[in-house]
This record gives sequence, structure tokens and C-alpha cells, in this order.
Amino acid sequence: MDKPITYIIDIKKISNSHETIIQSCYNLIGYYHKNPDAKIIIDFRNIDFMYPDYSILLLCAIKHLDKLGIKVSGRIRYNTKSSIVPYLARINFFKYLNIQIPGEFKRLENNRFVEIQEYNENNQIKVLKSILTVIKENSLINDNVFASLDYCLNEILDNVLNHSEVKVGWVVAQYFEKMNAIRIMVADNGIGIHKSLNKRHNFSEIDSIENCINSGVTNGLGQGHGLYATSTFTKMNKGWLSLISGNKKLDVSEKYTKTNTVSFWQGTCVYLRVNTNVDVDYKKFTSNHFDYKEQLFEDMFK
Amino acid sequence: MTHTIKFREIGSSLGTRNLGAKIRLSILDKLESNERLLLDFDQVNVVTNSFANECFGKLRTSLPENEFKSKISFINANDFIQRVIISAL
Repeated sequence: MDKPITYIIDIKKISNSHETIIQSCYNLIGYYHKNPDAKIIIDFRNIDFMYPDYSILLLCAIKHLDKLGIKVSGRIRYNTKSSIVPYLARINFFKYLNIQIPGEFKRLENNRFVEIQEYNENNQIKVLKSILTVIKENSLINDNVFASLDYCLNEILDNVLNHSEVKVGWVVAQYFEKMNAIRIMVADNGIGIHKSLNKRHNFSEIDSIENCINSGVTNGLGQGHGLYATSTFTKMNKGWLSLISGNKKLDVSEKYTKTNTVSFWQGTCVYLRVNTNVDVDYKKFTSNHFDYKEQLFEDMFK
Repeated sequence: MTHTIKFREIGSSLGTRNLGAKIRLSILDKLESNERLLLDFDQVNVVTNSFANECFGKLRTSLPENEFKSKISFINANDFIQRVIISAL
């Protein structure tokens, strides 16, 4: 009897950047298309930490295979003294992969992370609230930053359900106290930005990812405001926004906006790093045509 | 009669397009049986552009201008919410 083919993912080797994780996910999906009966080994040895926004991408890639009818099974390797497996267990990484880990990993009383959550139309508001509550309770976040994050995250979560043509998205978030920063990743296995925008436009792939942060660029179902607001907020906050879709990755920061080619991602990922202590002026992205409209409608506000 | 819709009972963060559409229908329903509607944002922190457009922007276009302005008032809206709503109208 033939020995099953094994595919090994060395977490230490792939945990360098979003690009390396995306590449690994692409390789994994390609391998399983050719070898659907392969067994996977995920090797967590020699590494003590993995950013939650990395782990959710690997999870989404495996979920994508599952959606295609390819059941991924195998095992994990880890050192019992390493902290990475308890950490990933606490953020539900293994739960969603149906991997049983021996031992109990108790939740910390003051969680600075929001577990990986699958969300849909029915629990979207509850999921958002859980993220905002954890951030508010565990950080000294500036009020304007908090309101802006609330606004932008609402729009990002809603984008997945309204534009990606899938019914579910995935989200994870963590507050890093020493860096005064929050890292958030929202990912889906939907149609991606290029296909979505080209319901109304005729963009190349690079044009679509570069234009999606411009005000008013939409597929016709929305107003093209969510990613514009998020990119404006990110620049003011000196944070970081990455959009990954298809073979393109757009990075937005205070200093530059640039596009790179990456391995293919079957959907869209939105990564946001927010500085909790860098104030922002929300008027810059909440006040389209406000000046002239204010005169028309100010009497309606008491 | 004047009816008040307390948005805090819906949530402190109002963000989804679907929710905006549902509330717009509820507002239109209440307008049929009330002379005035107060939309109360006490203890609401954030309203998004998607929500405001779907709810208030489309409400504005579905009602005659005079009726929209005379029957509806927004109360206790913070600066953030005021800006988003006015921009959506």
C-alpha cells in the first residue's frame, strides 16, 4: 500500500511577513489541487509566537480547500514547552481546524486579543462589538482613534458581506501594549477586488487595487467610501493598511502608497495596524460635501 | 403625535447597510402614524457612511423635501454622527 504523500508547513520559515504567509497558502492550495489525498504536517517547533493576522490566513486557505471539497487532514508538531500552541489554541486557531490539542488552555482574564471569529450577516454586529470592547477595555486608546476605528472596521466587515459574494468573513485582532498598536486582519475567500470592481469598471488588476481606496470607486452596490476612509484614517494615524487580493498587494502608510505583486490569494485580505496613541481628525473622512450640506440640514439637528 | 426612535436600543455602533435598510423601513412605517419623528442618538458613538446612506440618504430621496425636513429631527447626535448623517443626505 502506498504511503500517503505528506505536505509540511514549517511555521517558522513562513512567519516572516504577510507575503511569505500568502505564498505558503498559495503553495498549499496548489499542492492539494494536485494531491487531494495528501496529509499535512504543520510544524510549530522552533518558534514561540505567530502574529494572529498570519495564522488567520493559513486558516482561511485551509477553509478554502474545504469549500472546494478537499478535506485537509494531518497532524501538528510542537514543543510542549513552547508558548505558540497555547496561544493559537486560545485564539481558536485549532478549534476551527478541528485539531484536538492535549491539555487545557485557560483564557486570560485580561485578554488583549479577540479570538479568530467567523462572521456573517447574523453575528456581524456582535463580532464587531466584541472587538471594540476588548480594545476599549485593555488599551488607553485615543477617543478619536477609537471612533475612527469603529467606523472603518464596520465598513471593512460590511464590504466582505456586500461585495465578496461569500456569506462569511474571518476576523482577528490583538492589542500590543508595548507598541501601543492594534493589529487587525479581515479575510475572505470571495471574488476579490478586481472582479468586484469590474462589475462597473474596466480596470486591470493593478488599477483595481490602486483605485479601490479612492473616494467614489465602487462596484455599484456601495458608495466607494469604506476603503477611502480607512486609508485616510491610516495615513493620519501613522498606521499601516495592506490590501491583498488576487496577485496584488497594496500598502498604505503615512509615507507612501505602493503596490506589489504577490502570490495569488483567492479573495481579499485587509490588514490594519492602528496606533492607539496617535490622534486623528475624523472630519477628513466623515465630511464629504459637509460644508454646503450643513446649511441645508442643520435645522434638523437639535 | 411625536414618536422617538432610540438608536441606543439598536446599538452603540451602527454600521451595516442591511441594518440601515431595516431601520429606514421602520422609520417610514412610523411616519404613517405619527406627525413627527425624533431620531435619538443618545449613547450612540458611531454611525457609518454605509448605514447613513442606506437609512437616511435613501429616506430623504423617498420623501418630499418638505415632509422630510418638517417631520424628522435628529437629537443628541455627537459631532461625528452629525457629520456622517449630513454628508449622506
